[in-house]
Amino acid sequence: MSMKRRAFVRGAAATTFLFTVGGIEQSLTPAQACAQGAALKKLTPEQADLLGAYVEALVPGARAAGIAQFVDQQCSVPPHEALLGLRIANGNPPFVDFYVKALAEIDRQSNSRFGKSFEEMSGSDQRAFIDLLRQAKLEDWRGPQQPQVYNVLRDDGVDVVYGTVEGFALLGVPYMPHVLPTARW
Amino acid sequence: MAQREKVDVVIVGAGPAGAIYTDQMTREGKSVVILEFGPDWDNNDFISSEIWGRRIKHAPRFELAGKNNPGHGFNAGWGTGGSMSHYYANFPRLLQNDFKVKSLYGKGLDWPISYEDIAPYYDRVAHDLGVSGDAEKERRWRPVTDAYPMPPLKTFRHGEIWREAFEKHGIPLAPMPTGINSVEYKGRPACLNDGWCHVGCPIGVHGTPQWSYLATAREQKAEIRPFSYVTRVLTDASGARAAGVEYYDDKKEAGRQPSRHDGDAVHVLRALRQGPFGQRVRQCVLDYGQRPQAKCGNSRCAARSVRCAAERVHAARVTRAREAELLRRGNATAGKPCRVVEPER
Ligand SMILES: Cc1cc2nc3c(=O)[nH]c(=O)nc-3n(C[C@H](O)[C@H](O)[C@H](O)COP(=O)(O)OP(=O)(O)OC[C@H]3O[C@@H](n4cnc5c(N)ncnc54)[C@H](O)[C@@H]3O)c2cc1C
Ligand code: SF4
Repeated sequence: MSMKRRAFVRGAAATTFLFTVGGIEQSLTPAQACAQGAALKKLTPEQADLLGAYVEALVPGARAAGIAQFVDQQCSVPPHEALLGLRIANGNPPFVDFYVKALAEIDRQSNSRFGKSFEEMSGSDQRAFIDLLRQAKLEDWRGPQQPQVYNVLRDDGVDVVYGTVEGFALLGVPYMPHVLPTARW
Repeated sequence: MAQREKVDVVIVGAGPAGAIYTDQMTREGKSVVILEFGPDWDNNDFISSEIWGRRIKHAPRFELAGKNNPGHGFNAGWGTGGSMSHYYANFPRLLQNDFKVKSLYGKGLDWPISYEDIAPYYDRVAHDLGVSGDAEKERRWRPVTDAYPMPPLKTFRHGEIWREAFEKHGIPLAPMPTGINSVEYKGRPACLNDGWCHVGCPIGVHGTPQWSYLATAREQKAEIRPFSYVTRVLTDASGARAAGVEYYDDKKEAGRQPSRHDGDAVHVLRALRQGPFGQRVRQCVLDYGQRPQAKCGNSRCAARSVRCAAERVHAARVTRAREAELLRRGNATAGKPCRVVEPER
């Protein structure tokens, strides 16, 4: 191993993620994939919409930053290459199972408690729902453990909005890497 | 099933426990193969990013099925260096009374060794890995046998706030001994305080096996086989001595790696030592049939009740013979074979 104090690799070629737009595979950021309507690989459009709405309620900007495209793409790569926070939250592959089960339960609970889908709920109802979930107070919950769902989806949102070099800049925090991330997003 | 060439010692897992044994064995002239479940990391793999840092966390290519599967979680790393690649580098020591909790407080169990037995190894590891601290300030709690090789790390404002508050209440504090270079040490630079340690420090400031025991073991020609997942410890005809392991290689093909007998069951103990953090190692070792009666975290073997990296490394130095002795004394029952399954994608 060679030792350099800091490896600034500004402007290095960025390895973005592979998304399919109009049948053509392209290297895009999740935000670009979202804007260009990249094809989903693991989630259904309904699941992606719900994921976008739920995480947006927790971390504003997450939908446009491509939360659904990011999670979908990361669930499609070999598990040991995935960058999902679920990896450090005791999640086991196939990672998509966690999301599918969590989203199905969010949908079921939204409809049974509020008589409408999560996307249709008012902002305050969405926040009330998430607050109950956070405290594991949604009764008859049939998905993965509520605090885990809360934490993993919140962390995914923070990842896509603030976890990047650009996200650090939004927060006004200097990035100071040793080895700069090779993904542009 | 492919049969590999026999070596003196097979080590399961390239975490600190595996690394220190490999270093020790290669220094003794033994041929050693380490079978490591994860990748063989290069410094460029330690990308300064919360998100990319997750690659150094465990992600199973195989799963062990069955009851009481411990799983891998936040507390596990994988690849060379094991969980220590991204540990927080706190290097506390046990104190004298920690070894005698039964006699002193009527709780738990006494260790079969004392602080004095282990102190030279604490000191030795501090020098091997590089620990920053102020031993003199710890004198009120423990005898000081040697100074730390480096002065303590810089204290920042939040640390000062704590210090001021504690001092106000007459509570003494000492700088946390830390496996991070406060000054240049053994050709490795001083810390830049940029806080990427938890995703792996690529410049060698962090005292991990990559920069110490594994580096010397590599120089001594130890072979590290990444993406090798051990599923079973093989025994000789007597069933009492380890004779190698069964594993899946990087192409997911099953193979056998035989090892020469090395007196006692120390091959197995090396893996057993991995305790709570190397639980997978432990689980397939249980299959060997030398299952300790006590479960993880409730162990009768003092050496195995050690949990943190600092302790683990120290204990590895001191207790090899004692472990063998403890296991021989009969902390063992027959184990059931575990099944290995590949997770669906
Ligand atoms: C985030 C974090 C912070 C920590 N901070 C500190 C700290 O500040 N101070 C401290 O003292 N300790 C700390 N620790 C704990 C310390 O890192 C562990 O106690 C130590 O690494 C355990 O060493 P080990 O060799 O027993 O196991 P591990 O380091 O877990 O290594 C086990 C290795 O075995 C491999 N393996 C597992 N199963 C198999 C198999 N079947 N076949 C082949 N290979 C296998 C794994 O991939 C892994 O590389 C921390 C741990 C974590 C995760
Ligand atoms: S230089 Fe210091 S703070 Fe930065 S990653 Fe290395 S050990 Fe951690």
